[in-house]
Amino acid sequence: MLLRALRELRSRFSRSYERMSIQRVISLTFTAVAVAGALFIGLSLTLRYSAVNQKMQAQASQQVLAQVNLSLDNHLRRIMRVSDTVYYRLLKNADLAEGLPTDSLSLLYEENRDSLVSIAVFDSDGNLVTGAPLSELKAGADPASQGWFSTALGQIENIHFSTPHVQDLFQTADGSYHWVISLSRQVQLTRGGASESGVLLVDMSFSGVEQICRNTSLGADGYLYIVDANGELIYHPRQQLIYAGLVQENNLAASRLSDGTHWEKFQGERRQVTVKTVGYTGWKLVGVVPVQGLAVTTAQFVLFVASVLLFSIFLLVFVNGRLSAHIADPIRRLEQAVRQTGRGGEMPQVPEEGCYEVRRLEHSIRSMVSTMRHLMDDIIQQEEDKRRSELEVLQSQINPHFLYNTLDSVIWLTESGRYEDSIRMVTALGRLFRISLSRGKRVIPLDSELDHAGYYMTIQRIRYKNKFTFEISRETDTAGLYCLKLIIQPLLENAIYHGMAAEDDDGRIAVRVWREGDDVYIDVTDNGLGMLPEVAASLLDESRPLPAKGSGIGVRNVHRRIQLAYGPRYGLEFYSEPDEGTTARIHLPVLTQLEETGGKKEGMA
Amino acid sequence: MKKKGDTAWQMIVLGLLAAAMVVSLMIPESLLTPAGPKRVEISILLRQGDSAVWATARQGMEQAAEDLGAELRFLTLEAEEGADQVELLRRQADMGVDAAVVIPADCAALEQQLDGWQALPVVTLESQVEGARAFVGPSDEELGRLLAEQAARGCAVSGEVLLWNAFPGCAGPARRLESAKAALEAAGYAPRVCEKLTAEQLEQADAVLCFEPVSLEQAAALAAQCETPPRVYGAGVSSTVVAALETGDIAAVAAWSDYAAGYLAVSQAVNAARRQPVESKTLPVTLVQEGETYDQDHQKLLYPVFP
Repeated sequence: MLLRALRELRSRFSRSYERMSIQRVISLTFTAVAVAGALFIGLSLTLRYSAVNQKMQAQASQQVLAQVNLSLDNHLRRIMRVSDTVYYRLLKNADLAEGLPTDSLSLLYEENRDSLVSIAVFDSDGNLVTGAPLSELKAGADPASQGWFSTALGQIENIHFSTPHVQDLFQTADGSYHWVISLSRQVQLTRGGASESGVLLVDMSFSGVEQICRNTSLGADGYLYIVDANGELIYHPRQQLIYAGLVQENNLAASRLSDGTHWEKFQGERRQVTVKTVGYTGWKLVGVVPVQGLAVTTAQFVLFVASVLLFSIFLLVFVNGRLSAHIADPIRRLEQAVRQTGRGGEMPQVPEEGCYEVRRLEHSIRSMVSTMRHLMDDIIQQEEDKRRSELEVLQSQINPHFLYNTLDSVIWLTESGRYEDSIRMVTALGRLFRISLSRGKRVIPLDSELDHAGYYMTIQRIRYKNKFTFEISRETDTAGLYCLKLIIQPLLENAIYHGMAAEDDDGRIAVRVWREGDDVYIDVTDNGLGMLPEVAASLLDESRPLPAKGSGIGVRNVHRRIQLAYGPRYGLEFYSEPDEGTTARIHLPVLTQLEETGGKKEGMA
Repeated sequence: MKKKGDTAWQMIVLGLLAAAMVVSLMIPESLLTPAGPKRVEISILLRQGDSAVWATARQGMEQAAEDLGAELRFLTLEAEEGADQVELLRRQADMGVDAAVVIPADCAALEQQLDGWQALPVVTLESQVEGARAFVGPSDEELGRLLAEQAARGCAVSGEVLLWNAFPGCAGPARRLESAKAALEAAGYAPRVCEKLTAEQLEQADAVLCFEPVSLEQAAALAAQCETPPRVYGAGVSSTVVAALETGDIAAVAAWSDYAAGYLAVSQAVNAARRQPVESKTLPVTLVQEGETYDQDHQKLLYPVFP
């Protein structure tokens, strides 16, 4: 099915291609190739741009995360310095039995109150040793049961950071509460010279972390959040919505990611996730940028690409149209010239333009046309010469034949003493020859041709001892016309041989000339034996053998001469019936002197 | 001649396309990006004295307004009169407000107003009202049953259990009360419904059940003054309620996220204003007993992260 459709498409394309001009083929080909190239380059650039854009966004996210990490690190270091200060300056070398460092703690707290909620020292049983600014534990508060306490005592080398929680140890004057992140560490307390374990707790305000992260921008729709190593949320811009169960975050998966840029699909949305681990805490900064925000297909970009594409395609069509016209115009002009030449006109002058091949082609065609013209002229001239020579040969066939017969008759008359007839015959012969010569003209006045017929019949009647009569009749409108010379005499000769030879003394031969429109007819009628109409019709058939006796060849000669001179429409026709006689009709065009000298009538060969 | 005309047209089209290309670079992106949904105005109608109780819900509302492109107008009644609230609501419609979130003061009056009233889509909090487009809140029946079960655990069957109907005009608390009463009666208790709560009543009671946070705060305060205070149970939280829960003045609270309630109420109101589908939302209820306020999950429910 598909194959057939492809074949059909190919066939249709081939048909269209065959009908197309060279300019259109060049133009379409150039345009198609250029558009394909432009699309390919455009697509490549778009993909490349998109990849670069994503890479740049990843780099931007990493930079933002690095910046936030730096700020967070500074913030945490500051809190850690507070913790270090409390431990190494106030607790480590102090004997608590001699006095509590409550004032120093208060001073330290005041210095960092924008970041801190409380500083407290507990002994290993969870009893409050000292604290600032709040020194009274809530009723029922049990520090020893809290995670930060047991973690600090369990892993004594480290400072531990808790997840955000509500500070629930100390009484507050106004009943307010604080979300805090607790830094806890194991400390060695000295009391009355005895050393014991304790826990130093520094509660930093959660709002400090929130302020660092809140105004971070990651693209149009991106955001940043923090998780601990277990995937618990430390900070999220929509933390309350997440706590309320209205929004979900992929924080557990993010906590397992290594530092760097990753891709994830969460709730049907593809997102670029950049991770950076925060020192000391095991927290991870997670930057999230939805892929939609990375898309390069903004409305402006789409509009720009569309207008560039439209402009490029139209420009290509325009330029290719011009270019193909420049290439194809000389070829088209040459084609028009050749077509005009083919219709028989002269090859017009084509301006020499176009590329080398076209110029060469134009030269070659012009040279070929010139050669063809010369050859055709030569052929026409040769044909003319050939026809003329053939005509002359045909005419020359009459003379020896007739001359022999006539001279034979003159000899016979002279020998028989019929001098009068002999003189008449010689006289007629002389006049007949004079008309025959006619200064070499092929066409003579009809009057001369009829005179020629008369002289001939005068000679023949003498020869045949007046066994037949002869008369010439003509209509007046044939006066002044012209005809081929020596066309009646062969018909008379034929009438004599085939019509009169067997007659006794009542033979009759008549010549009648009349005109019908532009045609002239000359009938040579005898009342001889006649013949069957089909035999009469075949007299001019060149394929049939000539009769053994008579002037069959002369009749055919006349017919061929007329047709050679005036075309196949003219010539001889025979009408005959057995025992009734025969009529040979000569059909000629009306010729005037002017026409005779001017050449051919319409339809002539 | 025709060829020259064609060429001129082609040049004109080329010029126009080139101009379009340049213009496409110069047009600001904001002109091409389809404008977001129109900002809608939402009025929040609070009852008198509700402001503190609904503080967390207000945060949720503001977050929703920021996310969804809405402008909020908080209006508090000067007197606890249902008619005033209805009048205020009507005025909001006249002012061209797009939707309203109402905490009903008098459900009957509000129902009467909303019956066939299409001027303003209304979303209710706390009480489900006929004619409102949506309701956001916990399941009243479940909440009442939960409180009754909790009270039954801390009180003998022969004990005096008071059910305080502080806002008789509010359908939500009334439904909770009815549910609690039915559950208690089924368990063999003989609960007593009161519309006024006095210290004397408390002295004699073994347990008091309140069905919204305002009355719960008052009951806890009254109970704290008693020599033999009853166990106080209630629905809904506020900072005072949480503090009382921490100190044991309140025995247990059926709590839900007011932040989520506020957020969902405004989001449904915005949907209604934009003629988008609207649906009622039932919030899950968590029972928090005294001394459990700092449990990790309860912290997230009782203490807003960004106060």
